[in-house]
Amino acid sequence: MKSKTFKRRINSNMTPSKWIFFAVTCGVVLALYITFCVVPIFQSVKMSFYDWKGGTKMKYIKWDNYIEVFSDKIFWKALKNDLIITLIKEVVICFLTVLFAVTLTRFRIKTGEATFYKFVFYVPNVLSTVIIGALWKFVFTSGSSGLVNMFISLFKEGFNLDWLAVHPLGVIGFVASWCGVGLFMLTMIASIQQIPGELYEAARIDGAGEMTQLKYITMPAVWLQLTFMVVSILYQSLGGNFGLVNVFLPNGGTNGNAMVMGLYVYKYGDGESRLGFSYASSLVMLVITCAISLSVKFAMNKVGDLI
Amino acid sequence: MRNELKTENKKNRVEEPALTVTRNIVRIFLIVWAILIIFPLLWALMSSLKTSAEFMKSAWALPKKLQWVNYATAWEKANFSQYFLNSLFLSVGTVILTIAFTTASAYVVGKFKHPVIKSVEIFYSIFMMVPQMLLLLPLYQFLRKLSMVGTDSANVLFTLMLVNALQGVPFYVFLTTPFVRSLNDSVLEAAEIDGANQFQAFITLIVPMIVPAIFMVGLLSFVGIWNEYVMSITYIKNPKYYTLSTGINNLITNNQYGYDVKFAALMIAMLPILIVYAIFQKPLQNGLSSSDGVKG
Amino acid sequence: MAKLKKLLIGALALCLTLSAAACGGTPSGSSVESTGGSTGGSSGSTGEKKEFVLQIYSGGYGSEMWNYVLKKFVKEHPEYNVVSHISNTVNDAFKNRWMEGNPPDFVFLDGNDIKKTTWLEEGLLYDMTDWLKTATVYGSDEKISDKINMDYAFRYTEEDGNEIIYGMPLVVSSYGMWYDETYFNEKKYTVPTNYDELVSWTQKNATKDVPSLIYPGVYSGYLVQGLILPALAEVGDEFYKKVETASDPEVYVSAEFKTVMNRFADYVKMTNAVASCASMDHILSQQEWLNHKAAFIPNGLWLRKEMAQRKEIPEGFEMRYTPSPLVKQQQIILSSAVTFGIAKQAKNREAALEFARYLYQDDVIKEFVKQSDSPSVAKNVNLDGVEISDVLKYTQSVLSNENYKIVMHTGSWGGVDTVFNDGVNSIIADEKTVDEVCEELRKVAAKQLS
Repeated sequence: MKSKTFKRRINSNMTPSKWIFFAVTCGVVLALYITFCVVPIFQSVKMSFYDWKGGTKMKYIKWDNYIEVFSDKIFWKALKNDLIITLIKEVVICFLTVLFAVTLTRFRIKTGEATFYKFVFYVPNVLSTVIIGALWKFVFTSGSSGLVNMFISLFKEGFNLDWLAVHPLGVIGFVASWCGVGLFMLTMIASIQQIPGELYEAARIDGAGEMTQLKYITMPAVWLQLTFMVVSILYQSLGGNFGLVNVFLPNGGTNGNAMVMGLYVYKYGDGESRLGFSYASSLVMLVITCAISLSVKFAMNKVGDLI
Repeated sequence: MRNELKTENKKNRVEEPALTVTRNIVRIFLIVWAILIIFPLLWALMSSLKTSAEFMKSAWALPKKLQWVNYATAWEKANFSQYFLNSLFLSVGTVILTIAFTTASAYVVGKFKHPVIKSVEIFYSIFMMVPQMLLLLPLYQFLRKLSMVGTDSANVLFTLMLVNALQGVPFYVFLTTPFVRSLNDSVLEAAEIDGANQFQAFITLIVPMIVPAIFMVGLLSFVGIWNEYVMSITYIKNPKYYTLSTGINNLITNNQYGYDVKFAALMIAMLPILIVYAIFQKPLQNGLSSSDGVKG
Repeated sequence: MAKLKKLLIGALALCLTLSAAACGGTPSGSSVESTGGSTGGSSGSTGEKKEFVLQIYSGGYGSEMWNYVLKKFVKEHPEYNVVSHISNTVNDAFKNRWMEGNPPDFVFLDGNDIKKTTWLEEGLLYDMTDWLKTATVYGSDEKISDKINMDYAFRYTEEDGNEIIYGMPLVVSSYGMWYDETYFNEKKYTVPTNYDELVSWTQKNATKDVPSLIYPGVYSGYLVQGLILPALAEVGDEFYKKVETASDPEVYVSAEFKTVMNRFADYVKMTNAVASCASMDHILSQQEWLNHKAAFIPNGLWLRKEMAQRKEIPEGFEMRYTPSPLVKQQQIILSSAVTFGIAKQAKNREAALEFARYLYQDDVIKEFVKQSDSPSVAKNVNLDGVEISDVLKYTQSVLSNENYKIVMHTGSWGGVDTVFNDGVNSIIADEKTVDEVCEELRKVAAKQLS
């Protein structure tokens, strides 16, 4: 019978058997993960300094790709568009999430009714981006088959607006929010429900009305969750807006009206095979995303401290 | 307990007017939002039963005759039966791999104490934050060199299974580790003293105790892979191996079929996942407090 | 609630059974690779047979003529394993292969997503000049370069000044402004033949419900090719050559160029001149046009076939087209061709060149003409006994109309294409001025030459 060897200097409870288990399972997974999910990223860093189209010809061009990214008007437009879409998402999602979550928990909605809303509101989250994008694309289509145009035609004769051309960011922002609210609402509800009931009980005994209870007990917890939500949405959207935009306007719209950073990376990487350049732009995108997310997180924490 | 509640309710019978008013205003928002969700889906269903010409004439009107044939066309001619199969194949395979990768790793990270193990945990928590766009294209080139995503073979689906499962590891390990950590150490120690090796301990003790977590990982990853879009359209170039997402994407970009087939295809792609949601609503909703499911 | 759950589980089980049933069925339809009788698409060679890979985009023209000629070729060349990829997704599926040095042998240069410009810049297309010096039509002694009108061959001048022939033509391709003759007769509309008539037509007849023009905003090349280029060709042959090949960047900011562009800008800014179509693709814009949501659409000779395949042409609709009315007075038809090319790095170039010889046999030519509604590039083809469509008959009359001047359009202007296409959208959306767009054209042309 083997006895455990306690290494008192390092905090460890490992045994040879455990090491074997680690190596065969977790270790193998880790090795696979590094091979497929880490190594390619380092390769992309390396190739971002080359003029490479995927074949055998590659020319070392130092910082040229990065310079081109930074001097491309369309890239900055993409960043701007990303921020606009993200802003729309933040406003709509945060507003509706807080509104709905607080109402469904604190405002004494009947359980049946609340369950119905919870069920329905999460539906967009289980649908694929492409399905959602396709569906709403048909809704907003210009021309005679567009649902929205037809609907407005009932009030304003012959209304025919090419939504995707004139207000691409609005449409995309709306749809992105549409499929984001459900998830965050449920998370918010969960965190509100974690607030100990005694706090409310104590406040009520002290004579505080519902609205006051709301303001002093519910809101601080909500703010914490809100900070997490805002940073989370921001971080994911700056690179991830690509999915939805690609369904609506795969070419990025006229003049880059609907170009977003993810689509920019994809366009040059997959569309035009300028891989070196695409990698450079994706790294720039990463840096910008992290910088913005961290600053917002920092700012919101500061604000949270102040409230 | 009941008596307390009753007295409580009696005390609060007179509600603050502010509360009632706010509640009713918010109700309007709730109802509008619910309509915004339900209506487009119903509209898609209705449109899928019209002919293309009917749809183009009026997006609102009810179909004259229910065109169930649209579904047959989408299923057969537009190959959505094939895409459905591919999606199913890919999802099931990925779920199996994900569960395999995650559970063992979660056990190690949760119960094995050692600086090396700790650094693995930190490593995963850092790489969980890596945006997918960063990995997408370089990984594709990497796989091309290894001939794992050639256009002519089904390798691409197997490769996607592996890669999708791997990409999920940091997150799902993060999700499952607390479950493992909460398990009672004494049972494990007893097993070790009895001479059982880790594999036996893992299979006979750990796994049965974290079945709920495994179930959640399986469910979440199934939904995630079924809906996966970005990697599928980049990696799968051969229509024979398209998944439902790739198929729908192709339907829109290449515009080969009319609206009748497009809507029918949308419904075919939506229905399975909606059914899964309806059945497994509670676990899915519960599993999301840490899941990053934001679209867009 | 339990009953509902049971019902849903049953439904899920049904879904799974259906998918199991789908296992047995063979998917049909044009999105699957069809081959002219070869074995499946394995990348390794089967036995001693050498592979011959074709990339054939199947769009508006359909694919019947390709199946016809491939059947012949396969029968007579059992030594090749012919793997033909014919669908509307081939260009996307193959694009990586070109960049990695593993291209197909034969490529049909068609489709909105064909990467012709990149291939030319990277020198990936085979120069057929030498081959043409001796190549004959299969089954005869006639030289290909004698049988067909070589003006339609696509040429490109490489960096070192060497001019290559990279695209051999199959059928004539031409753009026009299409309209419904039945509708025009009903409304007693006359067809405008020059700019002044276009302006007065629009003022008189264009309404909010039926603007004068619609085009696919996503593929605005249709508008450039169909409306603007003929007007540029009117300025003069030398001038037009410079525009078409981007050989002189200054031509894009010249007074004549700007005059035409200003005419264009003035026209599109008129009330009800252009439908709101900036996010439409070609199919949607064509569907709208077929439903009389606009009077004119710039399009090519494949239009009838493309919409007939989808069974979306309404009863009584008579497709006709007129040369671009953006001209001052002389009506111009730009005559181009749809071509095929051969990859420079092709593994089986001999098979590709052999196959090319089949494409110019009389019966194959007739098949192409019939299926594509387009005149042949061969100098003398007897079409007796071939059932041709109304549109093709009309096209033949258009091309022989003495009032129209035919200008060849086979040059390549590289990156100017994208900038011009984006530019017209910007002008219509009032986001850029004509001067700004012209300057952008000049810049990109200059950058290409350096």
